[in-house]
Amino acid sequence: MTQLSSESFSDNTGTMVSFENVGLCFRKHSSLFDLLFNMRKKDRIFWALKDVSFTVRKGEYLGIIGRNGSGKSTLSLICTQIYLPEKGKIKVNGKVQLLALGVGFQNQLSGRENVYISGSLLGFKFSEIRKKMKDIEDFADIGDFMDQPVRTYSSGMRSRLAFSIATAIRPDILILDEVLATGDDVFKKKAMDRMENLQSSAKCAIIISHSPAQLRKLCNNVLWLEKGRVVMQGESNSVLKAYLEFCNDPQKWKLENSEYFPVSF
Amino acid sequence: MGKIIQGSENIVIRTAKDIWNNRHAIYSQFYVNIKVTVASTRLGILWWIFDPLLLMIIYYFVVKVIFDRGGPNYHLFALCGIVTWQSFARSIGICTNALISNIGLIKQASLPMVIYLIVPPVVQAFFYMIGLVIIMIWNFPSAGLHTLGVFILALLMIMMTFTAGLYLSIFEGYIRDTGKIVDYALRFGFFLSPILYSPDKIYDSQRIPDLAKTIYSLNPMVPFITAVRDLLLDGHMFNFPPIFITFAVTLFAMQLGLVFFRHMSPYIPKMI
Repeated sequence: MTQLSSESFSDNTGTMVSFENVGLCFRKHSSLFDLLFNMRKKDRIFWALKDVSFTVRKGEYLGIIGRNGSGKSTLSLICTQIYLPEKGKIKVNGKVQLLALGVGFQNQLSGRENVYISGSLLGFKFSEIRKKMKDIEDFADIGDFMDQPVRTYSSGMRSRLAFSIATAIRPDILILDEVLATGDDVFKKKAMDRMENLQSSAKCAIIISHSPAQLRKLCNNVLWLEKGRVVMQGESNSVLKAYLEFCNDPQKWKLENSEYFPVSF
Repeated sequence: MGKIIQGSENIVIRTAKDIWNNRHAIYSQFYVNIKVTVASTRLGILWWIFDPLLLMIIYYFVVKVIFDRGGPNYHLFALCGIVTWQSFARSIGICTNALISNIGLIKQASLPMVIYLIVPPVVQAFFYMIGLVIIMIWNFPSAGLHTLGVFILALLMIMMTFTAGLYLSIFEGYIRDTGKIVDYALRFGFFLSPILYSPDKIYDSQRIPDLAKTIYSLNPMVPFITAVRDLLLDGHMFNFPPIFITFAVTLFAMQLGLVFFRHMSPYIPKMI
């Protein structure tokens, strides 16, 4: 039985997020046609995460690395309690927010209108958005385009506006899922600074990326996922070093480090 | 299967709280729905008026010109039925899809999922009111204090379609065929409801067995459309008992639906 509780729990170790042997599967239901003609009676089950355990304490930044389809985004959706896992225990202590770009953006409406729309969907009151408007406008730095429909924006302008709205949130637990690669170099620098700022105001952060360089800069600990399982977790440098070696030649690395890859993998 | 720890608070109160706490998100989604439908067209807001009128002209042509049926004022008679049905059917259709079409937002915004079901009925009720105002202006001699009754009906419409959405959106998440079935059911429902004809036609008919008449009278659209015509065409307050019963049944179904939705909706994101 999975027990999911978002109520705060008293814990003197300062645990913000904890996963205990969490497993999550997707079922692919077979259609009636398959049942009748293909004799494939069983629904296919795909385990997106298996036996994942970790804790994030107050002040910690956990990086999650892994190849495409390794379960990184699934893990972030479990943290925000959108996905219910089939197995294991999860504890989340505080308000979690996934930093997402362009939430609810409407191409037909103006940038300013979209700030209100996106902001309200992220849980702000209109009065709070009004207060942040100047800050958001300054940071996006798109000038008069603010009052033009978003469909007239270049992709860079669009992501700059999206980024300035998204980073106005102040959650306890911040989840970043591949959001750092936006805009030109000047904006990238600004974005990186703001990111670090945002991280320091949150109590802890989970950062998902497949860029080891970024994680080395932002995280204390890294968890490496492969096919839904944890291969390695620990101090950033050592895990990232192993991951890079693995990426150069996955087959060879698997053979040489069989303790991390049991046969069932 | 997982389990969610929940408080013992009444489900209706908790939903009301969810709605209140997320009122700004609901308002912005309402605004988006209203604005986007007109922002991309040349005629803009005028479409709110043209939509029901064009439909009326089509059905008027079919019934009056081709079949040579309908009495005096048939255009208004039909319009009452058409705008009501249009609001009901669209709202149910959109609600059925509400979770699937908003899956991107559901994953990113972490709003209670019930919010996505409350927006479409409110948006459709807004368009419904515009349609009713057109009829009211057209037939202004029948206006009076009783005209305010349309607000009661609009509220009932929101509650009915929201309730249907609580069940249908979940079914749609599990079984995608739901949307198709709902679509056909609504097409059939169009003719099972007194939109182009008066319900008396059914009740007075000798050919229809009594059991069928009883089943027919269970259709909530029968008392509903009759009530709309009472208010706007005949110019008197609607008959209370049938509307009151519809309200009571809707409330009961809504309470059950909310419990059902609370239990089932956490599994939906993974199904989509």
